[in-house]
Amino acid sequence: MTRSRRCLVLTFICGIAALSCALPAPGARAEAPLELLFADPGAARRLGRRVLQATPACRTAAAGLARELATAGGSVGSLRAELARRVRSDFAHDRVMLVDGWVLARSEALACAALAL
Amino acid sequence: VLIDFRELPDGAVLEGDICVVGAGAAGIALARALARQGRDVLLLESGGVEPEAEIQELYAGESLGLDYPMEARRLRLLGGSTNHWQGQSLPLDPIDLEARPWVPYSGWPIPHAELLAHVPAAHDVLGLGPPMYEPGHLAGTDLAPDPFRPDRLRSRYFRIGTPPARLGEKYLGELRRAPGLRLVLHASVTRLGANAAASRVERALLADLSGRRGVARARVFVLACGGLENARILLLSDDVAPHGLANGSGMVGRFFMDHPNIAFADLLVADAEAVTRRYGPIPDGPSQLYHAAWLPETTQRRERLLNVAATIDPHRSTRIKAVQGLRSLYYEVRDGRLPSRLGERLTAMAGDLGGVAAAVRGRIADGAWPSPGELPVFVRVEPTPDPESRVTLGRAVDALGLRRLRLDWRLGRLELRTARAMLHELAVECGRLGIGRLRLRRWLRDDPPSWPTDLEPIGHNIGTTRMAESPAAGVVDRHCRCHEVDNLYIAGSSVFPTAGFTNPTLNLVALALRLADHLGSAVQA
Repeated sequence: MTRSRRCLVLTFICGIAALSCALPAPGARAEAPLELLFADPGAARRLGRRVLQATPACRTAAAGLARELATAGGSVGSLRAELARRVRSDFAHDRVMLVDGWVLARSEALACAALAL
Repeated sequence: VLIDFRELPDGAVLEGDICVVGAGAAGIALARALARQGRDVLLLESGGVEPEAEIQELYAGESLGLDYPMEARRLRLLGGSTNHWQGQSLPLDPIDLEARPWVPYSGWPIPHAELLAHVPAAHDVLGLGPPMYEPGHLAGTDLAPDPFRPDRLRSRYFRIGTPPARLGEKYLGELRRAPGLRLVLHASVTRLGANAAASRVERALLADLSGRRGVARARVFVLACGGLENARILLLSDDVAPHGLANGSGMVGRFFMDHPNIAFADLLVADAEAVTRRYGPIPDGPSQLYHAAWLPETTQRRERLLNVAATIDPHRSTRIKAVQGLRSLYYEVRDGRLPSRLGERLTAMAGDLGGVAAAVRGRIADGAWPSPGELPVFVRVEPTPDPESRVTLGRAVDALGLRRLRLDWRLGRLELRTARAMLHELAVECGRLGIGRLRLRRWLRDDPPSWPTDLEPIGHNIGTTRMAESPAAGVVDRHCRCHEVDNLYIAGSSVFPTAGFTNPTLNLVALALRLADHLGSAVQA
């Protein structure tokens, strides 16, 4: 596994398992762009391309997720918390996608796809 | 009494009440139990006390299907393959013995309780401590497994002997001293000689590598040579029955099964040490516990799947300790602090120099220590019984002049579908609980998936003389007696009609002890 792939997946894991550690420092910028969610946005984008290649129909859903997160606004921390909540819910309800062998929550896969739009 | 066949005169005749052929796990367990009943037992072993290359070579054979290194996956000496087993033990599940409509040729002719009744005694033979597989005492500790949703996954535990019992070494003294038991080493059975109707074995023909011949006579014979060799001896015994002894229905050699020994996926985890602590071996009394995530029966029935569990590779635990030792040493030295627990860390590092080297390389190349960890996930999937997965006799002969085995080992699509389903559940639960993310190995991603070319067997030789109610469906009956041969019994995993996901040794020892009980009364009568 490449380091960037590891960073990417670690981002997902941190979003759930170590959420409190992932919260931003006071004064973090508001309305953070989606790419600030990822430790390695380049790797996330590459994975996002894979998502779109494998499931082109995800394009609309990915754009929708990006809009929803954008309108939710807030800091990197709140954005990350919202995505983590969705990821937990996805896993709890079996909403997963197989991307390049990874079994990912639909929201995290779509978040990557949104970066690649 | 210990006898070396090589020291007997040519043409020696050995006699006993019960002749057990093969001193591996099944043969030793059976012979000990019979000797304790006061039976007159002749225990024949082809090998000696120590491994011998020329004797081990007798096990070589030819693979027709999936590659199967027959010579490497079993051992021919006192103690048999327990001389290299890992010691993982867990009884078969009730569903393993059921006739399941979606698993062809499934169903045992005995109830699960009958097998389970002999598991405590089998634990004693294998030195595993009490037969306890539900370690409630882990609850509330940091060793407790993560709370999987019980309708999705269940936590199960193997017991692992520490160290795994090498039965030859463990029981050599007892076998020597046991009244009524004669252990004969270096005596290879080349065939069983039957009466004209092929309904009774009258003698076992013996040989050694120097050309010495001999005969063993007994009222009852038990083959306990392992899942491949039991079938081979029956097929070789063709002087009266042209297709081999006990093979009127052509079932001898069919339904060979083994578990694939390969990582199916990798689990990328945030806290490798915590995961390994919970899912790697946990010391517990005289043995260890080893976690397996198991697909519940309800899911197996609903989705029409095989029995299956997944384990996380425990060998990474050494690596993690070694790497953590190195990492903490690095920071303490860098910060000018006196290293603490130096001896313990150096020991851990010395135990895994490869891991330390890999960590140093990773640190230099990536600037990061190898954490989080990537832990290989092994799926232990029950193989589907398949009559075409089988052993036959080849043309090549061994040093005793006996035809070698040809093995056509097959695994099917149901196994792959089951493995995928298992990994889906594991991935979802690991994601939900924040343990990590799972990635399927490349060969398992295709739709439909196919087995990789470098697939290896684990070395569980199962199913070539299966147990069945009717002679048309199997080789032995519910008492492990050959349907067609009155005084010939078979011990070992070759009689298993299905394999389950677990390792066979504990179960075959339990079955051998059950056979000892049966023979105790049957031979007396």
